[in-house]
Amino acid sequence: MIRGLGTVVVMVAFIGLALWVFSSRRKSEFDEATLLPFADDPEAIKHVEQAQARASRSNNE
Amino acid sequence: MSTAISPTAYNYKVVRQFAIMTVVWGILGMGLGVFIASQLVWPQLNLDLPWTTFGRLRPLHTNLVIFAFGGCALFATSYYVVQRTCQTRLISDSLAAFTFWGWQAVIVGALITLPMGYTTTKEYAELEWPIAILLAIVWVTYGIVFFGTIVKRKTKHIYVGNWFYGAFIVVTAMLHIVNHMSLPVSLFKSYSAYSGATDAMIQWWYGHNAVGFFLTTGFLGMMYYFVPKQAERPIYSYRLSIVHFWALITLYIWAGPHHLHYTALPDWAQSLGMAMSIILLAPSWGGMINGMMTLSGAWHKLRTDPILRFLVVSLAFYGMSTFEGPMMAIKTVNSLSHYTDWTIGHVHAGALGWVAMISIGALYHLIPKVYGRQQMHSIGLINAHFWLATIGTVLYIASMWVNGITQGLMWRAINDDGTLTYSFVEALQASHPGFIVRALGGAFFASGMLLMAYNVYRTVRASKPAEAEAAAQIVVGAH
Repeated sequence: MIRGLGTVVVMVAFIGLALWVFSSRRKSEFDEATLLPFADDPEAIKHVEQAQARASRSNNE
Repeated sequence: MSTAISPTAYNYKVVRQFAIMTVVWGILGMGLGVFIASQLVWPQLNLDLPWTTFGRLRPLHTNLVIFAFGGCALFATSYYVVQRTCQTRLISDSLAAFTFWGWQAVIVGALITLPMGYTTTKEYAELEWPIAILLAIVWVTYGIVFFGTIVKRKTKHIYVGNWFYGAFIVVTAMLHIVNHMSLPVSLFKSYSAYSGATDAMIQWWYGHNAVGFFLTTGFLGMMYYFVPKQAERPIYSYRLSIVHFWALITLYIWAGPHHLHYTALPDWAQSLGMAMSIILLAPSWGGMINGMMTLSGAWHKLRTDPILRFLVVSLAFYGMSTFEGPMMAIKTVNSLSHYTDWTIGHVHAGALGWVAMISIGALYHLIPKVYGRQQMHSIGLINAHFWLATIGTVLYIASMWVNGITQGLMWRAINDDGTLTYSFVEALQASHPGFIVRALGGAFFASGMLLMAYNVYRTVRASKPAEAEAAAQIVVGAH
């Protein structure tokens, strides 16, 4: 009984996590967080932003 | 995009210290590995002295490569990553310095006591109680410095790499303290607080999570910072990295019983360990794919950048060994592979291919940065190191596969009347060529570390104190 309950709790937690993570409301936060390795490096952030701009231009064409 | 130099600076001193010691302990630990591998080829190399026998030097080798080399790499990179992604200095310079000197003291303690034969006999937890207590104090201090720095961060988010480093620090403390519970009877002798099958279960709960949290989660933290940074591309999917984190730390902790298949451990515990080990493939590969796919659209960078090559090939080895691990945890496969050289080959696919190669790649990225240099002294030498490391790892694991399967098949072969077909010594003789290739592969890998030491020495020597100081300045508002 208690073991089965554990499985259910973990499954609910995992589904909850997946829903939370893939919610579109989280997108702007994650877009910001993903740039943190470059945020304190002016040279690197320039390269990354240029590459992203190039990628979005070619996607729009 | 306004760029301002803030009046404060990162604490790079402790990062430099740990980075240099990573190289030093790497050479010593891997050199010792080559020596004990040679002892298996030429047994006379035990020199007929108790201090230099395989049984005493092997735990010293594992302690040096895991805790001295791997540990220093984790300290160096975690202190570097947490400061840079939180854009703030470590909370305390003196506590950070204490973790450096305390950690070195633990390693020196291991160097002295293990060859003398002082050991708890628990694998990867051999250090006797006085050193184990020092280790626990150093580790708790490490946690205070790391999490304290996260608390006073200047950024809104805690970057995913720090989540992995944080889990590695917390769980390692828990494992070490629980597994080391013991009753001291003299200064260098203690007895475990647990007995029988419980002791074995706790030991391998510790042992497997030393792999899962010390040698995996910490190095995944490294991966999540250094792969994107070196490739100058954000991680493939930040969302996947969050799922990866929670799935990995939830599942790893249950896999320990696969070290105790067909022992006195209750059968249900063995089956549970096997099932959880197989499930573990999913988060492991999720993380590996996330790292690899970061390169998607920029694979050409691998042609020119040997540092990136180190990082990406380490992920390939990670993917390979996290497939091999769950497979070996299946009881029927384990009945062939257990106690053979296959296990040693599997460990080294992870230890050389994944842990060491990602650390080496991260250090080649980090060392010029903390010394205020544009890049390492010689890119050619990094490339040579890469090939030595790759060839060495492949020779090592291929020879151990051949040996392991040979041994497994010879040990289980029986004649029609039920007697064993081969004696143990016959299987040992059949392993001799594999032992030679293994020692050769190890020598390849260790010689690469010598190139690294020279390269690091030249890079550090070329650095002027003013340059190094300028490099530590915190640049804020860069984005």
